[in-house]
Amino acid sequence: MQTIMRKIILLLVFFSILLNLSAQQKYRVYFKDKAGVEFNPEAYFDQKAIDRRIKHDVSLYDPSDFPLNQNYVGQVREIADASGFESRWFNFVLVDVSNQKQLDDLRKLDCVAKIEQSIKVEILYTAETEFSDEYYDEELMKNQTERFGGSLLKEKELDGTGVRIAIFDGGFPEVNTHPSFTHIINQNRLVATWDFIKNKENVFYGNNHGRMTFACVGGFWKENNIGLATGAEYMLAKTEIGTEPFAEEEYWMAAAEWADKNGADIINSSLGYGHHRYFTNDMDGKTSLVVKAAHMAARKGILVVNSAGNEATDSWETIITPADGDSVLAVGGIDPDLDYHISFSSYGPTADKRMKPNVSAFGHVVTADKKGLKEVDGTSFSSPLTAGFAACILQHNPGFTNMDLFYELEKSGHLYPYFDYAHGYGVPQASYFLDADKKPIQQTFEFIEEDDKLIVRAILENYNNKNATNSNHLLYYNMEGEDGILESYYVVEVSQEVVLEFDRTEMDATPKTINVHFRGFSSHYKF
Amino acid sequence: MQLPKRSMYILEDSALIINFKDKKMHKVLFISILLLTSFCLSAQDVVFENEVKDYSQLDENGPNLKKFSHTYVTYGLNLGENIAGAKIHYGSSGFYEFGFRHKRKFSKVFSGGYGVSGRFSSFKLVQEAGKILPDASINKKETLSFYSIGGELYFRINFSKKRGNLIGLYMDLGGRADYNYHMLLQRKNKVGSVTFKSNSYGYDFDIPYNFGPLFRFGYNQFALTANYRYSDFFKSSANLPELPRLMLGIEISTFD
Repeated sequence: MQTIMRKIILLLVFFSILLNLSAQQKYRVYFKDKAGVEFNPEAYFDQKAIDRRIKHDVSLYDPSDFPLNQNYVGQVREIADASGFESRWFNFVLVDVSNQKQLDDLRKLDCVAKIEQSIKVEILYTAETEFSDEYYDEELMKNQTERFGGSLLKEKELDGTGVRIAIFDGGFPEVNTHPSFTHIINQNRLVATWDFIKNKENVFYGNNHGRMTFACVGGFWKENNIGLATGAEYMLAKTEIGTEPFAEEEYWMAAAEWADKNGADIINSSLGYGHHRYFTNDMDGKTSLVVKAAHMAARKGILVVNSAGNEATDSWETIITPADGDSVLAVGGIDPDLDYHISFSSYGPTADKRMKPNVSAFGHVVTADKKGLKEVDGTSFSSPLTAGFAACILQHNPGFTNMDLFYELEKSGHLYPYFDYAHGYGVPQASYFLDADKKPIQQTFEFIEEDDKLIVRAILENYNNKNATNSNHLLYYNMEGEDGILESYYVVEVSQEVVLEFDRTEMDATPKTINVHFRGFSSHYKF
Repeated sequence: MQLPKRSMYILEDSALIINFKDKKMHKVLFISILLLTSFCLSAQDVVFENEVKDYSQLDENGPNLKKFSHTYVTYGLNLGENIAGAKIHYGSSGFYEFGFRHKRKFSKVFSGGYGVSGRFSSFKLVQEAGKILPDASINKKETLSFYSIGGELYFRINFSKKRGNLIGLYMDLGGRADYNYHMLLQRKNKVGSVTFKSNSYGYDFDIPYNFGPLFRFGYNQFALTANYRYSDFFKSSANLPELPRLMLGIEISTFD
């Protein structure tokens, strides 16, 4: 009996070790240079990509766009089991390796600078609340764009015309047949599609997530907008496996290079990578592969819009990469009924204490279901709503560079210059860009020093009707430390004149600044 | 720092002219103040608050952090070599286990820890000539069950070196000891159309303590488990053949 047991244990140990050692692993093999390669930008880039480079003063002969040295790639292919994606931006080829000897042999090659293991990571999933095809909240659908000032955009005939948007997701089933996208398909504004997993054009299968995010950028249903950029051009990239929870960041990177080559102005990525691959201290905008790719896309003049993440109620809590990138517009979620933070939307700041998310949008929306519409939750939908809005603003201000657009979107936030780590600067507002006769902002509260107390008193007769929403009774305030980093932040429902009262003697002991925002007016008080 | 005070309300420029001698006015005033106070108490609310965390500092607790604890449930089968006189039905002889496990991380690859659990294990005895356990009687159905609590010590080798805050792919090697606090013999017989069932316990031929090695091979919340019982169930003086010693199970841990 003991012999049998010994055999079983040995067998299990053997299989487990064998499973680990023999399994093919993917590695990124980086080359030292691109010596001797030739590059013709006119042949490689779409005209829109060339125009974007000229506008952003990016060289058409940037070495990061040059192809890989195929002699180097050939040497690697001879050793590895198989090779896949070649990254021009980072000068590596992705290969399959199944044993240590292959790795050692690759390292011995003169052309190889370094080798990194590619790790599988998890897609950001959104919690979905599904309703029947027939039922959806029309008021919610109207408000999800109106919160940005959608009717003002419509009045000015801004629908993202002339702007090219790339959407990265886990698949786009029914997009070619669903009525929400007919206006895009019929007008040939779906300019490119690519499945980076199977290396083919068809992306109309896989995870529903892509259909739902796409609709929030430019979908249209029975005379009503689902998203704002109904006149934009689109590129769809399937970068996630879809039916599995695992994916690889290289696909995101490959899609970013593809989007750049084909002239995308904006990337919407409702994807994020968190605890399966990283720790919270890696969310510093420098560590993950995907954030490096996002930065490179921004360097090429593309506005990268990414969902902040749905992690607030999990132990992770914070944003997920690439939303941690400083040139990535991270979008948090707000509750459509309450108009402040929706419970699951990830909190900032980044691990290196930068403000995130940058802006917010609805985290509960109406979007395209398999046939009709449905309501869903997630910052996955806040991001595309914002990307659609950004396209309309870029149409209105074609001279904006991607980072002009980034900063102007922040400035147009309904809370700006106030911010916190749940809302960023709030929901971007069309009125900031389009309202010619802006009224001066009236003071809506004041700080009153009374003995040892500091009172924040609301001036209720002054009403800055900047945003006709239910947020007009919400007062936002935060506590900022001497280092400029927030320590805590709050939203208060105001119904009386004396809103806040602080003990100054207590506050003076640890110098702080209190920043307050109420009805379009922001101010601060230093203790 | 103080949070907003909710009971303060400054009444200024009141248009009310109050006659304090009028009893009706007293009532109106009292009700008005009551209503106003209750409104103020409930109206000005902090609807959202958040203390900022330093995400550059890692917690101590987590699946791939310094310490980690979780509960788990296992279902499995009693397997191993059937011995003459104590043969069991494979497939229907199984066990359930509910437990708590703690892990300490030593390095990216190595960790270890302990666990405590409760287990219910049953053996469906084959009814055939030559049966010895617990006696030679042949019944329609006969089940010998053990209720136990146990503890384990294990050493873990992790194969997913580059991973985030998750368990990853691992192999555990360790040992386990159990205390059988209850042994139950259940018999079912049928005479004509009448079914007889009996539950018997209090036997003195079992050894309450068992021990043996354990093995687990898992990925995140899921694991295949193997336990082997080195020690005997029954006292040598009882001259009873032993029940199969191997237990193979599927474990599901309860954590995100």
